[in-house]
Amino acid sequence: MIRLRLRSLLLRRRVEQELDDEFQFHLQRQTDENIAKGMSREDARNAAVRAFVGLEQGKEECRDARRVSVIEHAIQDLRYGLRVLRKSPGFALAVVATLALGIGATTAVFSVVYGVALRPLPYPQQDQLVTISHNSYASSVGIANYIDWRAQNSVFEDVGITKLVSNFNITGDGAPERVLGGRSTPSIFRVLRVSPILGRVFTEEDGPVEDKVVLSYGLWKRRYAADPGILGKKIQLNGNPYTVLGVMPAEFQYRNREFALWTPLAINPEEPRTTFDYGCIARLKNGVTLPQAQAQMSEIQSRIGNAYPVVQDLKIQISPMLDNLVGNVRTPLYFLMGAVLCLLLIVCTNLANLLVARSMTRRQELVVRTALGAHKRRLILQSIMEIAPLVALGGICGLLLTRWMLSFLIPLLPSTMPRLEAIRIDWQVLAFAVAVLFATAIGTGIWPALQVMRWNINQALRESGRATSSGSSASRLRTTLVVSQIAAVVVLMVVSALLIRSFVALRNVDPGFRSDNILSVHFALSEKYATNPKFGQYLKRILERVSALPGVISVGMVNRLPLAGQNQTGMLEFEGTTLMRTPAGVSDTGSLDWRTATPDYFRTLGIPLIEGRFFEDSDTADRPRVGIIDEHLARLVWPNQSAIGKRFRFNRGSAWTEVVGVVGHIRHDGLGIDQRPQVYWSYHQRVQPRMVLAVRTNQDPKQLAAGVIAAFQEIDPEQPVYDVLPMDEVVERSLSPQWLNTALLSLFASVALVLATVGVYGVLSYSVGLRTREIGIRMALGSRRSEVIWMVLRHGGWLAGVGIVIGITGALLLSRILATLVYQVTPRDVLSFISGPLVLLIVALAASYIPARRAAAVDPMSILRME
Amino acid sequence: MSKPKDVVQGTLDLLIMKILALEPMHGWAISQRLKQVSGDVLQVSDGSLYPALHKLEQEGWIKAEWAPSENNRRAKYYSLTRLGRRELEKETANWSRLSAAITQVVKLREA
Repeated sequence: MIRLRLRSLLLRRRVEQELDDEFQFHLQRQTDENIAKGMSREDARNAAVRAFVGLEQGKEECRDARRVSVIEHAIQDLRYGLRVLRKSPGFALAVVATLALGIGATTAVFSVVYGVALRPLPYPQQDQLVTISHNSYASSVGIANYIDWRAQNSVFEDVGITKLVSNFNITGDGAPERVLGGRSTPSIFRVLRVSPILGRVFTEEDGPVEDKVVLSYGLWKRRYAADPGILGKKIQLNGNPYTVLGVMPAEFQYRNREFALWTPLAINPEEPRTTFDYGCIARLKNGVTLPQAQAQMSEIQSRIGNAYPVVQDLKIQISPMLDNLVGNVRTPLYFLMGAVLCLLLIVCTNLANLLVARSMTRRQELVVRTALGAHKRRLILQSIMEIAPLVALGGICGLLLTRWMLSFLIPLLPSTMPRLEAIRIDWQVLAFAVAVLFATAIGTGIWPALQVMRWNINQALRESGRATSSGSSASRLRTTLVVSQIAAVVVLMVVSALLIRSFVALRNVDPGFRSDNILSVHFALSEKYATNPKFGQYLKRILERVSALPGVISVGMVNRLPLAGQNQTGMLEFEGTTLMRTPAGVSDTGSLDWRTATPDYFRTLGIPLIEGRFFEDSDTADRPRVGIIDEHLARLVWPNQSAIGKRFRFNRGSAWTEVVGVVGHIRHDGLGIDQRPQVYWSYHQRVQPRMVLAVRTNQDPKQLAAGVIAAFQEIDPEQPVYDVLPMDEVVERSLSPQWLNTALLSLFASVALVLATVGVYGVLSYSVGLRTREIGIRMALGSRRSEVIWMVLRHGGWLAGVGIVIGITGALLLSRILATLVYQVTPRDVLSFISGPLVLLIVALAASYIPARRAAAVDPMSILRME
Repeated sequence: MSKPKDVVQGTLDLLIMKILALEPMHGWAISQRLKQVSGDVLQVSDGSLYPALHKLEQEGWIKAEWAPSENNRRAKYYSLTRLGRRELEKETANWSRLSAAITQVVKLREA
């Protein structure tokens, strides 16, 4: 049977010939028979043909019997389609370009959304992995709690904690380098179920002694040239020797992609329960669900809370590890996905419009073929196969476009976004692209096909004689398409206007310091500087050396640079305040930014002195401790009185620090967020493992970088520096999430606007073309040209108007979601809701003006003569 | 367009296979034989005969080969395959049951 099918498919001509021969033979025999009955040769032949009812139909049915006709027809249609397209390259180009744009943009955004927010984590049975965190303290947990959890729970296979260490200085084997790493319990490797590709990981037997290290694949390859001989050797971290135990595989990126090494965590069970410094992960036992784990852990935590009142308010939260990792970026990503789907919708309507318009031009042909007995199924198959090559080509171009867009989009993504490395075009993304492609092709190709189905041949044949009222259903369809398109564009434009306004508001926020002409240099200090006065002396030498460089106006240091994404926070006990006292014995100010600063830090960043004095070099380690607080804290803690001379301390056991100055408040976490007041200690009196140098210059800060780095090297050749950036750039980077959303949305909105303009123009041109005769008659009856122009413009304005009303309604419905994404702009901002639609209306009218002019140029006489 | 009264749907296959069970035959001969044996009661239009033949061939119940005919012209001769013979037996049995049942019903109404 298969042989027969193949034969009919491959030897089509021969099979066709046989069919013909067989029928000829039949006719011949019948003719012979008729002649034998006494007819003339001619009559006999005619009678035979007459007797063979439905000769050609019979042949066609025989072909159908071969069951391969569908494939045959498809191939025929495909060939025909390609021929037709060669003759109308403009149409082909329009369809392919529109499709490629839609597929490309949608797939690019999808691959980002999928890669970052949805792709499973690269660990075995990753759905069992959970993060344990508290209701506050930025997902961090404390050691004592961890020990209790681990001992008391029965829901986890194992629990592990890791402390982020931002300052590992690798020295001794090449250029000094600072890397991020973690101090971890050995259990994290069991929790994540990842084995090293080389050597081993540390275990409980190694003891909580920090003299061993496991390297990341990236560090091993980059710094040690993937040398397996590194195992067992010692490397210098912050000046101390660590034995290299093993190398982890490339996909092991806990806690994030920047982690370059892991060392054992020396657990101090005496650490206060109010210190929250560790990330905690756990693996659920087989068969244990998340709610079960949550229930048991809540119970354990409430027991802990009863036993230790300082943590009685602490709630515990068990969340899937992936959710915890990407929870913050999901909303903006989904929002972007929504925007790009909106764009896709507009692309689809344009595509549908193009195809409907095209099927209208072939209406005559299709109607005649239907009248001659062509099956509708056959015609629909044809209209599908004709666009198939376009769809395929559009899809391929779309994927190429996706690759290009990603190569340009990924570097723009905020570097704080997790899992950027998981963004790639793989089979899931390809499957998505193909699904979108099919949905688009079927969704848009179905319109012309349905058009064919709905035809009443009689009416169509009658109509096609006169072009006046023809295709009223088709133009209704196109009108609907254009109106929905305009509505989608309005939504995109309103949203992008909101985002732009919000972004401008954000840019205009005064952070409390000046970022111009400042170079910032991060550095982590080795342990030889971990005590005062060595710490202060070392920093002072750097400050002196750098301030001697040409072009330097002032130099300062702080342990955390504003807007750079790192923080150090805590609470304090203030003397003589009316504020409540928390169970932990500190004043209830909320969390505070804890800073160690040098005297000139404030001048360098342009932070104003409000009262008292800045630090001075005489505020050394052996002098009484001095502190500076910001204006917000001064007002909060000691309202209506001067803060100068008042005191604060860490807790009951520690020494008092006297307030000597009040300075201006700055925004540390972001321009749009203002969470905490600041407290500053003098650098001689509070040691920090990491510092940031800020240099104010009278030239381009970038020019200064080489000189500053050289100054560091001269003082200590083993001192690495990192993140050497102009302060302006630090501010820009802090805005990059908002910038990205705003830029992409504006891009989508502009593309959408262009597409909609084409759509409006297309519909009006078409309708003017259809109404040429009517317009001619109107003009012959005395209508003025301006009235004709008005008539067409009114039509365009009406289309835009309806679309705008629907679009604004849609945008209003969306405004609740938008509220989380905009800053200092109400999500129902009037200006945004007016400006977008107004632009659209103007553009729509402009697009209508060209067909309107054409309509007005109609010569009434020639129209009347044509009748 | 009024077509000649076609044989009951589905029975044409049975008739063709029955005729071919006796000897291989070409299309025209089959159409003649149909008229002849049914005494012109069953009018099978040539327009439906050939599609039916092609369909049976595709099913693998009959096979075709080109051979010289009685007037020395090449004609396409159809013959029953082994598969077709089994199908014919099955269909014959079906038909007997069906016609017997219908006959019963028809008698019932007359009584």
